[in-house]
Amino acid sequence: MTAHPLQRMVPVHSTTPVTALAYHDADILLSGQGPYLKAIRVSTADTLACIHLGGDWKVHRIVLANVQRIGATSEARLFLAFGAKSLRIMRLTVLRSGSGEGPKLYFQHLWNVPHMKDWILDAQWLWPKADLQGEFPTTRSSLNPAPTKPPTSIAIGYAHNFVEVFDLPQDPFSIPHQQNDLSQDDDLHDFRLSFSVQSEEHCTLFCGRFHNNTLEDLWFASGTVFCHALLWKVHHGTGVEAPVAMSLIGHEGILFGIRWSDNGKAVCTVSDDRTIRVWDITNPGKILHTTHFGHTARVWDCQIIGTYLVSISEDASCRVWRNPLLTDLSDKDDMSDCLACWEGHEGKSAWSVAVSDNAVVATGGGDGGIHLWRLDSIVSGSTDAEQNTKDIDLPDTPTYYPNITPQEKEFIRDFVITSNTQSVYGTNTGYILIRDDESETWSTLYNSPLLKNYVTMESSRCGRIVVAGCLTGKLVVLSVRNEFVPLIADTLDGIKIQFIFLLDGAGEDDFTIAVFRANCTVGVFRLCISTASSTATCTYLCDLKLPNSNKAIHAAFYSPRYNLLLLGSRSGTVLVYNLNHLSTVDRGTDTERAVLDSIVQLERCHGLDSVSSILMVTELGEGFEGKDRIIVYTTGRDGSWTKYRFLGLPDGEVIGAGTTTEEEDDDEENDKDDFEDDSDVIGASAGGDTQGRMRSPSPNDQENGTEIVLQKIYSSKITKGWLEQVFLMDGELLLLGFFNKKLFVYNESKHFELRSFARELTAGSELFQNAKLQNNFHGREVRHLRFLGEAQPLTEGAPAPIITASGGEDCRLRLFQYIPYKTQNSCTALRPLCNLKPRFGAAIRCLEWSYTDTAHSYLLFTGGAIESMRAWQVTLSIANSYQVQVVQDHLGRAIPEHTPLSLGCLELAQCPHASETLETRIMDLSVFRLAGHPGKHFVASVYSDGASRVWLFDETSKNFVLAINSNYHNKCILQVAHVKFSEGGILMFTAATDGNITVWDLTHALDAFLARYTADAGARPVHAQRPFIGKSKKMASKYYVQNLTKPIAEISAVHMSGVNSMCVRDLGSEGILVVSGGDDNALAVSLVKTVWSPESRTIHALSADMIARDNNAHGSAIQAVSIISPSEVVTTSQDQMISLWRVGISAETSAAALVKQESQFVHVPDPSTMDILPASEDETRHSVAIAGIGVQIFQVGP
Amino acid sequence: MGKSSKDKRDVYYRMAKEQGWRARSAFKLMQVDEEFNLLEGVTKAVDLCAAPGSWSQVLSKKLVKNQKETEEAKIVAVDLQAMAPLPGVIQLQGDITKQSTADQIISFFDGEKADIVVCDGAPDVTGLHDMDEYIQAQLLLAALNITTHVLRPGGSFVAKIFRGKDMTLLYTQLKIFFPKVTCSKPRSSRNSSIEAFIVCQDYTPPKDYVPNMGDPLLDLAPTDAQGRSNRTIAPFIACGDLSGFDSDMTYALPDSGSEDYKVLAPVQMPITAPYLSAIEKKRKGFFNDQMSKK
Repeated sequence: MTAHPLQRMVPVHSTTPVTALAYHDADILLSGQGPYLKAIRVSTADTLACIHLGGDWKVHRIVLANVQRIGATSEARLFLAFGAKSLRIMRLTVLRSGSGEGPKLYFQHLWNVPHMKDWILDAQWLWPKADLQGEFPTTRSSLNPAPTKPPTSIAIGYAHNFVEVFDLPQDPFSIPHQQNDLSQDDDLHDFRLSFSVQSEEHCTLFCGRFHNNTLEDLWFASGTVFCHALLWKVHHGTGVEAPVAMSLIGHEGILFGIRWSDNGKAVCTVSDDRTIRVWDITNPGKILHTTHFGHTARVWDCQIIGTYLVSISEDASCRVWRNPLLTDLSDKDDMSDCLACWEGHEGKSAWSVAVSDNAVVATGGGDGGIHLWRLDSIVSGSTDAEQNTKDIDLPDTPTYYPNITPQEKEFIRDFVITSNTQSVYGTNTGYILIRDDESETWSTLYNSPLLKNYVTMESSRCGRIVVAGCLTGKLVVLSVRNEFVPLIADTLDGIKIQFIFLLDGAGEDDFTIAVFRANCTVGVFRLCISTASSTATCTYLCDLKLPNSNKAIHAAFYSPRYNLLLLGSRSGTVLVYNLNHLSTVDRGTDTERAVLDSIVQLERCHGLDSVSSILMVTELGEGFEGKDRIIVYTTGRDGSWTKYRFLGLPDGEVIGAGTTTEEEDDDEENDKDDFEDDSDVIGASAGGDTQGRMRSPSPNDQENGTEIVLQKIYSSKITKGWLEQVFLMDGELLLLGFFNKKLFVYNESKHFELRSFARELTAGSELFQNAKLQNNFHGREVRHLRFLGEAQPLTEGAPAPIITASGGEDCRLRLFQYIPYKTQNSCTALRPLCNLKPRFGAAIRCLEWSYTDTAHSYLLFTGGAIESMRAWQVTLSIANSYQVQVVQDHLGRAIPEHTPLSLGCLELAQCPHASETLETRIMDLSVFRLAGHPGKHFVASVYSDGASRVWLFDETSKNFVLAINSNYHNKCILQVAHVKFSEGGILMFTAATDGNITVWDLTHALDAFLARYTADAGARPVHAQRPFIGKSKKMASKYYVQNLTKPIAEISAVHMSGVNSMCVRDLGSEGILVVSGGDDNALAVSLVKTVWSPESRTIHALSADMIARDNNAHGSAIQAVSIISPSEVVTTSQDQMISLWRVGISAETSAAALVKQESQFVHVPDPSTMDILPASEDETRHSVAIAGIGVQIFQVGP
Repeated sequence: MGKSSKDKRDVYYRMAKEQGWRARSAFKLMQVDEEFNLLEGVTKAVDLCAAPGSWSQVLSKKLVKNQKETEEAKIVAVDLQAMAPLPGVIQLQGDITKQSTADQIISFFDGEKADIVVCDGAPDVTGLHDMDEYIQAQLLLAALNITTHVLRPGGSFVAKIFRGKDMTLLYTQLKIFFPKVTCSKPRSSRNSSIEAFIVCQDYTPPKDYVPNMGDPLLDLAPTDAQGRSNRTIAPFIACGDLSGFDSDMTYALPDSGSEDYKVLAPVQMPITAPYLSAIEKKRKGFFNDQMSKK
């Protein structure tokens, strides 16, 4: 939508729930999110066209008509987009050059049908019966056989269970193709209402759906709040009201979605009762139905696609089920034929789903993201063990062991799988047999008395080598392909070998072998293959020193790049050995044996359960400041997996500022570590049990001055069963485990269980490159968003990056880079940088930035539920590809584009508790620093139990210390703000649910606190000596605290009830401007005049008065106010409006005039927070971000 | 969340249990009444969407004081769901969008009409805010429609609303029937909740208005962004004693070990949920063939 020439507030970006999806063809997906309609190319994830539909409604559904061919290669598609009581008739034109370039797309708005009588539930294109032959599928993008003529009417189904039919004013195919904006002056006279009918059942519906495309055959399916679905024929012939032909009774809750099968012989309904029901209506006298349980919350939609049902739910998942209509419904009871459960969206609800003709499922989330899934990855048939496994019996023993004696028993002792079609078996009689699994033929690889009665085997990853361990401590190394002659190696002690780990080395012929002996020792060997000489050599390297507590080793990984060996023990310990230190190992008296100590020992990685697998991955140049990022993954039998970062390795990331980071980079496919809701740890604090301690550092390491540390950065429990294996496949993290005697494979990167992993893993990605077609925002209500206001440019001449921090009900802290005018449309300007969910996460209500003396290093404070307050260190650095480009903004001006940057976010500290009640919420924060006190940040915080406190966060000690306490308010305090005077004077403003604004002079209390604190350099413990009785929480020490009892001024009854928002600005001699927005719809302006006396270091209030108020500033509670200049204020409210106000203060009378300049609709439901950022040097332009369920950014110009 | 944790978070929840109210919403009606004196002299009342019955409890308590020798207090409580019996309250299980329900209510008043109609009903919210507000508006309009059948001229109507983007539309519509319409937020309703109560006084139906349940009252005004800023905004009043309890404040409980404090069970257990079958299946291990994420 083009801006009105006089409009100063222009919407430039929004991310809101994706509520409508439809495929034009397999490569072009239409999406509706908020007021925007987008066309996205599936294969490349590019947004090809985007249009703002205007108005105050969001797109609830897109209904496609037939394709109109234009020339040989291009086409156009008519479609309806509707929501609430508005409907637009649109056309998408797709121009294909045929030269290999991508298609060019544009939207065209044909007609506006702006105000319908009632809420629209469905709309349908209608043709004259003569123009339609055969069936006309309603749910899919392909219309086969497609009508060649244009539709002539549209039918609209309403929430009060009635239908209207309008005739199109003109043949839509005859309208010239051109790109346009929305025409506001539509002539509606030709939109003739040609038919109208009410169902005999008068009720309010939550859902409805048409079937068929001619008025004569049109049916409507109504989903009622009384748990019934009603099917009725629209053009029924007689009477005023249409009779209900069929009632589908069975659901136990409101119907939220209803769909017809393509042939109209079945209906699929979903409900509040969390079930999907499929109704066979072929015989109206005997309607059969199936019930499908599985979703863990309300189900919003389900469609029948061939052999599948595809459903979406409030549980944010998309599930695929077996279509029950293909079997006999009469013998079906409650079913859970769930074939796949795709959980990619964050927070609550997947709202929309579309399936392309080549079986790519697109889901749109409440989080504003769009994900792609492949339906053809589901192998039909279950993955039950019994169906897919096969017993293997040894061939008759005499066929390979002719001289077997009757005393010898033959059976399989151990086996390994060497390829998809080959396996190798060790038998009790000392034979090693190869089985070709395709031809089911056997051959003898080796036999030896050494292997009689006991063998343990391991194969190399490549499958070329099999190593067998003997009772006598010998290793037998065998080539499956006969590349070398068998080798028998000694493992030193002559003790039974219990486990062998055959690990890949640097080259394809190098391997590292770790053997775990029966006496609980580990020997390490190097195995080299020479195909030229057909020999293998096995060299002893060393033994490894194990902690006493370790009974067995269950996992091992060797990194040739760093020459490190990683072991995981049965009792949960991860050990790292540096094989570079072999030369320095003290061999003591034993000349043969060398015992190497670990450099890292990390205990209880999976509690006391076994570490079942270890994987180490190096991402070259992907780490902080362009260093290599070295990641270690472990899985455990506690059902969880853990991600560590290796710090201090050569060229790798080092320990130091901002090193604990989690990035979510949309440009990288392999880094999609969304944090699970049930995650345990992120961004670990420095020290503690999350880091592997370094033991006996070697001289080499000391020379480098680096410490080697394994730092836990993420852990998540996936199952109540065991996790056994972690592997990366195409950059996606896959976890294999067992639960309830079943094997499962979970795709952690995309959050879904692979029901049929063989197909899933090999499914090519030729249809799309990125399964995340569109990045998401928060999945729940955002409660606070703050721009990093004083960010510094990362290179000279470049603009400072624009960073936002946001938090809300999803307990996540997210950081985004806002890139204005990144593309020609306004939908893709927020780039996710980081997505953190702290341990013991609590809803975030408030957050504030602070600044440090270190370049590009910032502090962020978050506060919220269960009295949680945290300090985070955010460090920005230049990404490898950083360069400044110049692009054009929407007004055609050349502006520098902000290119991607790298961001680190580290949790520094958690604030101790100070309230008696655990449920106390921190409602708001205000952060300031004082001149002469570097590294000290003062955090004014207000609490739901009526307390206001000022905390010191000390950068050096990384501790929160309680500085000032006040219990003056006996109400839940909602807002806090501050004003800083020169010479250290500080005024604090607080406001509560009683509508009063209170003014505090903090100067004295802060002076007294600082004197005491600096005197003993903060040596006192930050926590109280005695823990709070009956609670394990850490209480703050009150040693340094100053009590504040009396405010210097109070402005009473500024609002009738809660002061939801307050913004203050020092106007110098005029006083301090306090603008507040209330729950009572009112906007108030107050002026506080003070005088600072330097001698006594006190602030006296001369006056504090409300000078202007608009009682009806908004139609609902005001949620946020911002002062953009001394004379202008922006407000937003639950009524979803943003308003710009002029504040004119008369110098003589100190009275003010408050005049609304302009208002606009905000497409963010439940707007809770707003922040502004100057967008030009002279501060005449501002970016205004409003967040709630989604986010919208406006530019406010002069 | 445990019951005691909710006690701390919500002082009115605790007080409702202590004072025997079926829901904390009882305080909301009492605080609205304090402000507007709606129940003064009232003897006939209708409670629409009454379950679990806390507003009927309040009405019952107040109306008994008002009844005269000649005239007994009469309260008719209507809900789709069954509700535990309350002394002195006539219960009617029915759909408020139906003519038959209106007729039944009228029949209880022996041809007379009610002095006040209250409605504390709220739909299942989906999370799609525009849809939720629409459905809430429809519920209110259905209540208004039935009110036009049963309310005496001069009577009042109190209903729950969501203070969302289309609140002003409803206000316009209510003004057709009531000269005095106020949006009121009791202090027992949380500041963070978008719920409020529309208080409509002095029922004055338009001349020649014939109540008709067959025709739903569809909201009238168009929805467009441009027209939004010019709409009339309902006057707002916060009600309830400012020095009373704050529903947003976290109050410390008496020491949980002491005899003074007991965690009380709710007065009336919640009405059954539609997903009980699903929960029951889960308990029986129906979902265990899935991976069982924690």
